[in-house]
Amino acid sequence: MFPSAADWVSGAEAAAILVVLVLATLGTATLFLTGLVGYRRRRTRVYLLMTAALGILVSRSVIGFGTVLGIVPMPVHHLIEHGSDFAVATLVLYALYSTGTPSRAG
Amino acid sequence: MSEVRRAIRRHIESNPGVHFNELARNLGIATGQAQYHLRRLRRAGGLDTAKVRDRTHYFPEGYDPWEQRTIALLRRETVRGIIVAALEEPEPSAADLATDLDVARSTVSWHVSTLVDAGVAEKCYDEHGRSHIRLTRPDETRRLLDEVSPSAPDRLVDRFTRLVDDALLE
Repeated sequence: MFPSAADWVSGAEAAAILVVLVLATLGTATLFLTGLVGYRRRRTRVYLLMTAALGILVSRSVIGFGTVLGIVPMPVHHLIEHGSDFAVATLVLYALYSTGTPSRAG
Repeated sequence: MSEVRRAIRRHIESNPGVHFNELARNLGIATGQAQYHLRRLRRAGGLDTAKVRDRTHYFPEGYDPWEQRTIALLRRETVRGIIVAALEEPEPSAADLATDLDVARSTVSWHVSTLVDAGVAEKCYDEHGRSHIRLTRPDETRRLLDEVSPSAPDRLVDRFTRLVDDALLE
């Protein structure tokens, strides 16, 4: 089914990963769109940071698909996934930090 | 046109009949700022207002006064409950409405008189002299109810913004 993935997963595992990836993509994409509409309404920095963090979650699923389909090699996959963990943590922490002075478009 | 004014106009277009407090809260705008921009928008045209029981509701153009009043009332929880009940089962009695909606009889009377004043419903009496309410234009009322019911995505965004506001901004 996925020749490039055959060296690290069996067929059944690949199918399970694919199902999880589809669910993760649907969930994170819905959250991201919700965040995007929220940002469009509010236009504040906090909403921008939260939406960016949600966008990164979507990109993780995309990278997952890339690996399953053999486009993204495993070491790059891990680098991006853990790098995105760091980015999400930073964005949310910064959102928390910057809430003292929420900027609003006037 | 300023960014805030555009956001207000967009919000009114997708939420016809939104009232002032709700608009300011949904968009996270201070009262004075919202008043200023709404005044500017009204002067520029393309925005209608309806005042129902001391609350101002905002509409994009295209709704006649009866529709505006009906939508304004559909945006209030208890009144909406009365209208929905009368759509489901025509001519409910005031006593049944009070029981179903779990509110006092006097509360039902107050809201029914608002509905009668707005021309949305009228009172009628059965053979025992009990008062019932009858919608004056049930089909149009049902159409407007569908129009103003928030869609699932809208509700999701509302809850998301409330969550972020409560967790991060309060």
